[in-house]
Amino acid sequence: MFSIAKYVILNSRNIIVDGEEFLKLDHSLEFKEQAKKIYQSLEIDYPKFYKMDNLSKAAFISAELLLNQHVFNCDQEKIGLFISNKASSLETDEAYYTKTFEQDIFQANPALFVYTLPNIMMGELCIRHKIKGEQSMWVSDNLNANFVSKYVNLLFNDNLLETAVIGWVDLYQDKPETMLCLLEKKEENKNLEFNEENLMALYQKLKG
Amino acid sequence: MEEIIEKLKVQLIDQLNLEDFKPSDIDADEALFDSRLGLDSIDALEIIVLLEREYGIKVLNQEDGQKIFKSVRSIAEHISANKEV
Repeated sequence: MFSIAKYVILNSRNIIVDGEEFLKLDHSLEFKEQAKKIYQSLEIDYPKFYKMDNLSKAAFISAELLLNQHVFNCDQEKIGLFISNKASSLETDEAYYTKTFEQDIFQANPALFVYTLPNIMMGELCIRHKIKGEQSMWVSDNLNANFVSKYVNLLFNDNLLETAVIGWVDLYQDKPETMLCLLEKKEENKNLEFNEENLMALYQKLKG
Repeated sequence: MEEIIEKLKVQLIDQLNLEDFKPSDIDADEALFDSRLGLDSIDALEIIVLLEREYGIKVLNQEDGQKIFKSVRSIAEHISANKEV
């Protein structure tokens, strides 16, 4: 059996870590500015952060808070990453289209172009946290907790994974919505069991 | 040359989102890649776009790029030698 060992929720209002409010967010700031402030407050030295699109920044911050004290005690190939969202990379796709094609002359924007896939956000997390196991990025209107929990449990039960980060990382019209969970083998009477109901409960907490 | 270097530092910080750096933090002779600045291959593409857009200079082959993009000074020297009048 596997459990939700830790979770992080980030939306326009605040950041919650394991049910406790970690930080209240300032509504008046654009997410880019908000993310910069949070990044600096975490005292992380990772200049690549500034080059990321907002979707990746939301994922990066959430994953930092989820994994900052954590050491994976297994092969990197046994760590999985499974994320869903609704808007894919649409925010960046639109920005890329506007900046590239709706100008008087065509202008290449390679740094923006690389983020026109949500898989890049997955890649950023994998590079940062050395995750090399099974990964999937699903796009759907809402989190399909039934499918995700069955799929990930199947990989656990077949011993293809020993631990995983799963959740929801969405951002559109400057509104971030992330919920990331760290899954580990269950210790008796400790932590939430990883199942459809508990995963959906956290997703609903995110949606508020 | 110093004028081009200072202008280039500002343009690079803006174009490459080097938000941790001020122009005075960057030594004109320090390595741009595999260094503390953390530039990667996408940044190299951004510099190519910047040179073409701002100075009308095209960098067409990789070997030239490796020499030109060694430092801010080497880029500035290339601009000085090739800038459209």
